[in-house]
Amino acid sequence: MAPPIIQARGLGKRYVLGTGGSRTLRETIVSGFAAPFRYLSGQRAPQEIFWALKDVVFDIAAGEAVGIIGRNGAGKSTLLKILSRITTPTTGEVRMYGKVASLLEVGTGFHPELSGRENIFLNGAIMGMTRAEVRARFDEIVAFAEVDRFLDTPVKRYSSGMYVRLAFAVAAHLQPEILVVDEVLAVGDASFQRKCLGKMQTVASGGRTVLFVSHNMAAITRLCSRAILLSNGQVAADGPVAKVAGIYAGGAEGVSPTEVDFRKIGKPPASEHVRLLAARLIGDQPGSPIVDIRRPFSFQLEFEVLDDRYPLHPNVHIFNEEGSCVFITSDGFVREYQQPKSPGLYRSTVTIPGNFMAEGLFSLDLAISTLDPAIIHVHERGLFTFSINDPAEGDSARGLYAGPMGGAVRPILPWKTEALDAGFSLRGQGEA
Amino acid sequence: MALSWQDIRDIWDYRELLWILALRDVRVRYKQASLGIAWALLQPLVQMVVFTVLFNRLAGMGSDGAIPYPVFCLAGLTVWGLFASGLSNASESLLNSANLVTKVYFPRVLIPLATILTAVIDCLLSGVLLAGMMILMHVPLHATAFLALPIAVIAALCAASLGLWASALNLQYRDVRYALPFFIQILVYLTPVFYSASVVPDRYRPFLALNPMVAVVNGFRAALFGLPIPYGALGLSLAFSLLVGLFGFIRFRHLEQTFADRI
Repeated sequence: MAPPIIQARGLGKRYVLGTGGSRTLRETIVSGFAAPFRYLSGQRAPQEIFWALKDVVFDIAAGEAVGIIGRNGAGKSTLLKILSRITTPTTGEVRMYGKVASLLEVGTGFHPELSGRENIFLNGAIMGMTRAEVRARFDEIVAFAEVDRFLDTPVKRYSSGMYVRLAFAVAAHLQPEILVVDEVLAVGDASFQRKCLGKMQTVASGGRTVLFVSHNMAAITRLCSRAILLSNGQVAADGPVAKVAGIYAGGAEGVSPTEVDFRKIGKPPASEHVRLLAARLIGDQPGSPIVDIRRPFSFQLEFEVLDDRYPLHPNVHIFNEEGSCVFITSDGFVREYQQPKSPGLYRSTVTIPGNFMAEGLFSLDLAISTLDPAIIHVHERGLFTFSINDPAEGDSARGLYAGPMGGAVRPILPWKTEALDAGFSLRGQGEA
Repeated sequence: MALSWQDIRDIWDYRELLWILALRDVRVRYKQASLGIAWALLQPLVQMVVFTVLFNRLAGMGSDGAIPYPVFCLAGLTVWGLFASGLSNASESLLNSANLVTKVYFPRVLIPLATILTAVIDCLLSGVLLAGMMILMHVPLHATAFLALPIAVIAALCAASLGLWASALNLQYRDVRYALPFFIQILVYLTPVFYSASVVPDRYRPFLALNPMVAVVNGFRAALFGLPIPYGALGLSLAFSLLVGLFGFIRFRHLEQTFADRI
């Protein structure tokens, strides 16, 4: 591994809630006078202390692209603020060996009254570039931001899309050793997001370090090789992006993102007729709950049949992020499975074809049921969370389109387009 | 709590930002105003007219020697304006730049310093007006006039040194934003801006010496009009501003780590 360019050791950030940063002189004077009395009477001013970050430790090597993920309030923004030197940690220290450019908010330092041109220089200077450096990259920045026609328009007249494009373009063309980008790309349209991700990829592959915060897991997995999961201000997971994303999606402790072995965690879900022993998700990357939309993947479950009273059908229920059921599948249509099985161990596998489900985050219920009469023997809810990602390389159903795409399913269907008026001229040419 | 080379290097790396921020303020200020840059001239001009009518014609205050009162007054206003607008802009500067302070890192000390630079640019414009008035009223140019520039620099240093304190304290105690305009308002009367220091009775002179701007305003006019320059008092004013500025800078560097959390 390359030598670390960022070293964080025992980082902690404490905020005192309630009393804000600024106090009036009077409050200071009054509380100064009152302090001895408070002390004597044993009263303390009530202060609520909140640790936004606690004992955060990590090393980041030069050239790594690291995604920082976590739920709202997990400490992501605070961490970025410390890394970009906006605020200092309460405990611990962070060492950075290189120039940092951070894009924590769209258009930081832009002045609405100034033109795009003036703002490029202003913004560049705020990020630590000299005029000569900005001038050298000026055309590149303008071309990337696609604002050449509006260079002399005050940026207050810009659309929000133009605003982000310009802001991102300046930050990304700074050539800092470390580029820190918060969730700002969400503002731009999809094709620009793709462009930004591409730019960050170039930055990262050029040996520079990218730290990227996003809620868009697809973007994170596309760009980053490694992810750090923050939870309640602490590092909950740190490692290959697929693994960390799985932990983030899955949540539960002691359970891998792609496998639950009920025998190991005790208490297998069971009825008097059947016992569920294990369940796993088998994607194209072992251990990863992130599935390429183009590839088939499978769910597998192992169960023990305890008696042969009922026919048993394992079934899988898949829900999208809104909680709607996308589909349910079982082996109920197979004639030979419509008979009771003899007691023993069984393994069932169902394969979901590639180019079938839409992109997104899904959760999975597993059940073992009898269909006639309808009896649910075991039903495990939210067993896995997995994500279907479309790398948008042109051979999936979205083709080269990179924008938001609706639809509950995303199949590739047989299409055929024939030229109707070209036949004559072709035949004519052939005869000539 | 000491100063390291890193602090200096840090600021040096961002030296161009100082100029760009100052220029931004000037540009923004005049961009939308239809009279544009003329405002920088109009302000001292109107003040001069009002003070001339009020203090010279009505109250019968005179100037030093044979200097026409309008020129005398404008000279005082030019150098005082540098100090007053520099200090008051600097004190508000961090609060006005909250979006920058909470979102991007650069040495924060550049924010108040840039506002001082903006005041310097305004002062230069006012200086052009002053030169015009001097020609118009046939005030002879003295060889010592060039010394007015370094003396104006002392005024800027005074504003910067106090401005560092005021801007940082403004985040901690919002009282500053109410107290400071009042303080500047009072100080203009305690400084010989539109009256001559010679009208102050001898027994009050020591109190006058406590105000570093007295020597600056006196010196500025003396240099322009070829009167004896109070070098000793100017030296004290310079020493005052450097000392206050140095401690202000150290304190500022110390406090700036918490700025983002305080704003």
